[in-house]
Amino acid sequence: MDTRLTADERQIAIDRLTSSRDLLLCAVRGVSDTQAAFTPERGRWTILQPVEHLAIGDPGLLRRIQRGLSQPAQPELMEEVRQKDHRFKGGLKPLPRGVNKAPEDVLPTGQYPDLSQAIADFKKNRAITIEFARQTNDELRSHFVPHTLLGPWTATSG
Amino acid sequence: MDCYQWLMACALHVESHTLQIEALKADPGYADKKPVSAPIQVRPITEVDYAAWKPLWNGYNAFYGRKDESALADEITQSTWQRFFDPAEPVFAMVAEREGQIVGLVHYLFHRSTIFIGPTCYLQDLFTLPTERGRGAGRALIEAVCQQAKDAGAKRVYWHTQDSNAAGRMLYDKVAQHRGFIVYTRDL
Repeated sequence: MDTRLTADERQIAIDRLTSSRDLLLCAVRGVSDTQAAFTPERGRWTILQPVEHLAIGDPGLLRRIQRGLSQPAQPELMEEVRQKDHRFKGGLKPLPRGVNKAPEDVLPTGQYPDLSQAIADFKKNRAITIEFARQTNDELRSHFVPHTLLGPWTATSG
Repeated sequence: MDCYQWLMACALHVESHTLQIEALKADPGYADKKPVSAPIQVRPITEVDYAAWKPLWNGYNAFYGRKDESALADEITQSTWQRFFDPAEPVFAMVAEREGQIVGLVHYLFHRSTIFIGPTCYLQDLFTLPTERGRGAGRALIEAVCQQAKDAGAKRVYWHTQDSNAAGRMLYDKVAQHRGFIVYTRDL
């Protein structure tokens, strides 16, 4: 079984990375800094906070991918893990609020003074992710990194 | 998760937080902080709108890959434009205006159906200026078509979009139902 991306897999990833970027940019278009700082209740994220989280999130996810690639390949797990691909292709059902905690290294800390700078960084980092998807010849499908919430999705975990 | 699934997770991660942002924007407290913008007005297209309509039409076609060497032939554009004003043609167009500027278009047509006595309305083209996305122009255009269709005796309005048109689908999921149909096409 080929452990590199097929042309279809690569294109699906590029399309989804691009369309999700556009979705976010569409959602924050016209949002003022006052609106970006709005939160309906204490302890709930503002609009600026998830944008900051996403701006630093792509490099965080790419770091996880690189970490997975630095581990020995496990081709014996590929077939079962691939059966979970559908979870990444359909429409999104968001997890209930508070269930999926962001890792410490990608938590928003208020590093951006305004929304436009957070958006600029998100766009820059997303371009890097899309370029990675376009160029990579790494064996992405035979290297694994467990997800804290979704689990390892290996042959033993289901 | 394999490393490809992590790559896909980068996209889903953004989609998830975008839903969170949309939920915040729907909060009444957010609305209080929203600057008042001029309302959208939808009206039937007129022949003097050509200069404002054409760039939107080009933008719409480019979105679906009809640009440069694969651009739509000008004779098709001209024929489509003329059909909007031909009383014998079941093809119609409306535009959305904000502060006197045309910011969006919608084209729709009526056809027979085997499951309705009245006509069925196909909303073929919908496009707004990128600066207008998320500001209500698209929804206003869809609602205007639905009203026109209802007035014409239609029981259904439907439209197609590409699976990857996430921004559009965010709106469509609010105003209509995706009933699971997929489209097959065979060019002749």
